[in-house]
Amino acid sequence: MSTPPTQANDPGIAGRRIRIVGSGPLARTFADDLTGYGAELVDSGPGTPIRDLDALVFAPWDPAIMKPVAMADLGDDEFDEAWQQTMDTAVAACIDARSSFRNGRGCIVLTFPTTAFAGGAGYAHWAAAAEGVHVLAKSAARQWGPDGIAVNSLAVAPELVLADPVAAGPVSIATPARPEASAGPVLAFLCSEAAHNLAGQALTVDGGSWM
Amino acid sequence: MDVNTNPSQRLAGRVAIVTGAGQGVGEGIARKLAAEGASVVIAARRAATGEPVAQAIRDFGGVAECIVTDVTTRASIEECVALTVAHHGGLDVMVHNAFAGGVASRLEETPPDAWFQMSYTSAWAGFWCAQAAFPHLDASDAGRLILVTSPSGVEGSANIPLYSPAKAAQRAMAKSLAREWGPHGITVNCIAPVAETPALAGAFAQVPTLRGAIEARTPLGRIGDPVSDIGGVVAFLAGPDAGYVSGQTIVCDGGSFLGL
Repeated sequence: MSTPPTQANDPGIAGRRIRIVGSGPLARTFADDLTGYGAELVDSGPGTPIRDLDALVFAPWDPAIMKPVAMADLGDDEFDEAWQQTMDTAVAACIDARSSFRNGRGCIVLTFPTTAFAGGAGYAHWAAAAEGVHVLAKSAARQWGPDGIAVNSLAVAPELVLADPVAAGPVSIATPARPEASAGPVLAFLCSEAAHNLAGQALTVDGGSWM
Repeated sequence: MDVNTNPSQRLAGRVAIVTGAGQGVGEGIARKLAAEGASVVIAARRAATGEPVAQAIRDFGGVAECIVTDVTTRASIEECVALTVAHHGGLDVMVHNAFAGGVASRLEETPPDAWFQMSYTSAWAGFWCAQAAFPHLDASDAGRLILVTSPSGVEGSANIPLYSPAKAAQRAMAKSLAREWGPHGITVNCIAPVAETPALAGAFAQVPTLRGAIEARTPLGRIGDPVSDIGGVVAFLAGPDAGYVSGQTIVCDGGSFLGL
């Protein structure tokens, strides 16, 4: 849930034009969070490229499709959906955003589950995609940073996106620090002008499980 | 390449496949595993490169054969594994090293063919190698899957931006399979090497200052030898001393990358 902005917690994204890639629960939550801070959500249509974009949020992760499959049973279609389509979509979204940014300057936030860091039993295909997206943010940050594009990433708890996070296994052997944490304010920061002080960073908002 | 002439034979009786073993890092790994007593299958895209490596190992007294393998197709990998088991009686160690497609470019100008080649030789081939090898690694008393990633797969690359995610996939798959296959007694690990290879030599030819730059940023002051520096680490991971190591990445680059 978003927190109504006050002078103290306003991330300064009111009026910023943000595109969210994804339609699952995570993307919808992020949409609520960002509009709660006054951002304007935009999307492209056939033949109508986005103009004056300020930020891109990549959040396609959806428990409806992120199901565990043992490696022995994993089919090419499932690997294609997880790895290839996710990476292709991420790369295309980044390139589209780059050409749509207001005066060439903007923020890209690639989200992914911490399964990228920790792996997951039955989740080799989705973990590969998650870590691929994580490292894509680093490459893009290194190459596009000099152009005025801030590329960073946001790691979220597997419980938000995996169909069976218990099957995947624990992210950490240690006790989570702060289970009630919300990713919305951090996402808003990464979409703000202040995010230009970061490059290629992964901010993990999972309640302090992965450290 | 410097071949150990007094091997420990700690891999005697073990059967290994090394993809991309016709040259470079893969050749170094294959030579080292053979020197340590393993029967090694040189899974190379071309017999012209793979067969000389196998012959060199045989000349040295080792056991090796070349099986021509295109890692961009599932059927070719499955055939390689099936032939290996038929010829050598099993499979204990699968090393996926083959890679192609890395071309310096802007992200927005990366040729689609180059991206798909990187994706298929890294992520897809890692998937297919793992799946084809699994029943045999499971039957082994100490199955090992070893995937070759890169320091760039951790820290990203401004020169070949999609090389990094393609290599990053290996690390996440290794961690996932370490969890999944642990109950089967199989370990899954990665190495991230920097070594003297034909690919690196080609880069040096294009950028004459590159060798000096790499050596200058490397605490050990040199670029790794594929046999002794890289192959030795894989031999450790494949051998009995690494039976309690799984889901890890060992960076073999002279201490240059310290981000793990």
